[in-house]
Amino acid sequence: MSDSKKEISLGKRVFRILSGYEIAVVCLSLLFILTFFGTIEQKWFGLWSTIHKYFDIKSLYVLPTRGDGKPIFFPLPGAYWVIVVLGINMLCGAIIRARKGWKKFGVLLSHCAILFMLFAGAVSSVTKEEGHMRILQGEKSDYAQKLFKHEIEIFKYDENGDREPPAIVRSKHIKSLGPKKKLNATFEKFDFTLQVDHFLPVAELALASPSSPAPDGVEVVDGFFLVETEKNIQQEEANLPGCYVTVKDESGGTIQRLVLWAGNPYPVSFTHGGQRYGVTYLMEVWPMPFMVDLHRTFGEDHPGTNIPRWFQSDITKIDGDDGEQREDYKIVMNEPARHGGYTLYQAGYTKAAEGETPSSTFAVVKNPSDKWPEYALYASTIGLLIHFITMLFRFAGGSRPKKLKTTEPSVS
Amino acid sequence: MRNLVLLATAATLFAGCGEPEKSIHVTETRPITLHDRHYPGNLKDRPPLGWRRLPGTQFRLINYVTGKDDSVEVVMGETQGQVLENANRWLGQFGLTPLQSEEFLGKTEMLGRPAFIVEGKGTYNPGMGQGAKEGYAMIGIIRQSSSNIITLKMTGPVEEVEAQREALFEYTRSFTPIEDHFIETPTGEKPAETSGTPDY
Repeated sequence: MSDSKKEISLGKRVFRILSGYEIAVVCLSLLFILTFFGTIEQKWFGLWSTIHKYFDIKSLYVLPTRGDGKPIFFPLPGAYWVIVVLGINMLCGAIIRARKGWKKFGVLLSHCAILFMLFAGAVSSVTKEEGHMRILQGEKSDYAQKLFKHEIEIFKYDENGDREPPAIVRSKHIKSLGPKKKLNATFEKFDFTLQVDHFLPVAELALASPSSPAPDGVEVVDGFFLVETEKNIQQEEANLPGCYVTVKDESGGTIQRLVLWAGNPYPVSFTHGGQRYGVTYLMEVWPMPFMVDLHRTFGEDHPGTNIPRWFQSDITKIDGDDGEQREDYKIVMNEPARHGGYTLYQAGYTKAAEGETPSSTFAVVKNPSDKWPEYALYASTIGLLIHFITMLFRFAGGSRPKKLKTTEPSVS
Repeated sequence: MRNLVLLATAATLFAGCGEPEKSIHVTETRPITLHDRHYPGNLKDRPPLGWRRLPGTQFRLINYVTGKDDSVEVVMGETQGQVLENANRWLGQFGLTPLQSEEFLGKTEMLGRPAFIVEGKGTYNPGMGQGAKEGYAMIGIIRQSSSNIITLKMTGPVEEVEAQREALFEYTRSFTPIEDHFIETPTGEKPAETSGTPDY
């Protein structure tokens, strides 16, 4: 006995633990608890914040809290990492360690399908891009905007007063700054430097006046200053950042000091070297490889409310260099339009008052693993069907009366 | 020795955490989209090179400064009321006598329609809590449209405003309607209004 125990290597012992039912039960229980608390919290903190808190890859642990910030449970591991552990457990236990054979094919197929679904989620979390495209009826659009990523764009105006392609300072470089750190950005296409400072993640731009002066210590630029405001926890997209920037020449001298705020829809400008430049702080612009014409948008609210009961958008998607590839779609709730890896969902619509133009908002998603969960469900269903049918036949075959075995007397 | 190496490694890893400045080199760009063709009121303007654009506000759709020490303001806005009413409000800011008729105003054109010129000099009282400014001048242009009034107003020290006079009128002529984001219909008609039941 003691000899056989010594023969089990460390690797095998680790494998047995990783593939055990215990880990699966713990992971599934944790996911149930996390989903429960996440569902409660999103009522206070909004969907985006809660999903980000519970399911983000950077969330190593989660502390469920209620609306006033007080914890309502002890810390739990982040859901993303629980799913990673569950995936490893399934791979080791339900695939590698599981008994093979034709009798087990259905179960094996189902487990592979579920593992594939978890893998689809992991791919989605890393590669998915999503944004919103808002179009007025009778107009068209070839871009979406990412609601939770704000970037600084700088561009030159050409001789016709049109914008040239911008240089982009990505959100990840700016939002880590805080009010005290600075970012120095040099550009491939420009000969000046942009220094970003005094970043505020949630701010408003205020006009300084004798009756509303800037608070002590707050810088006023061109008569404007930034005020830090309270975060809107229900609507993350309403939280608009701001910062101050200094445009510097090659010798480090100041060309222009500017204040930027993501709620300002149009760029500010400066002049350098006889050229005019624009600077804007905005939600990341995501160019689409197609144009969307919105011909008609309409819908109906639930009686006595402003909550839409249904809404529909009639669009034409236009592809190709000359716009020769045209396809018409009717996008309604739960029936998106899919093409070329992009999916357009009807996210909302705005009725218009008299004389105004109604609009549609589409959620645009680019996710290579978009359909993978659907395929996984089909495969899992087929696997379970195969398994249950196999079991049924085995059961039916086993319930037939067995012929009694008789021993013939020996003839001597 | 091993502890020393671990300590040095940890120190190196954490060395970057407290840095007050960081530097990047930006190479990323993107193609031009219809987003870059959006202008206030769907009108593209071409300001003179020396005009610098500031953030807009509720009452200032387009907001420029120019001149020495950015002392000249050029503001475009939309408002309600009548041409004469707005002209007299501006004249009142300079303590000037209100006019009884539009025929006393200068004439020009803006955005393809007749517009009126309002001028004044003296001590400028902009109101809104701001103090009086002596030696100021104003050149304003007011244009009536079907639903509102469009105003373009330049204020600043007298010499600076006079130096920008021709630039202001050239700016007025620079506006170009931008219709890139409208769907072209075969007959040029607007698309149907919202009505109907879902097609599913």
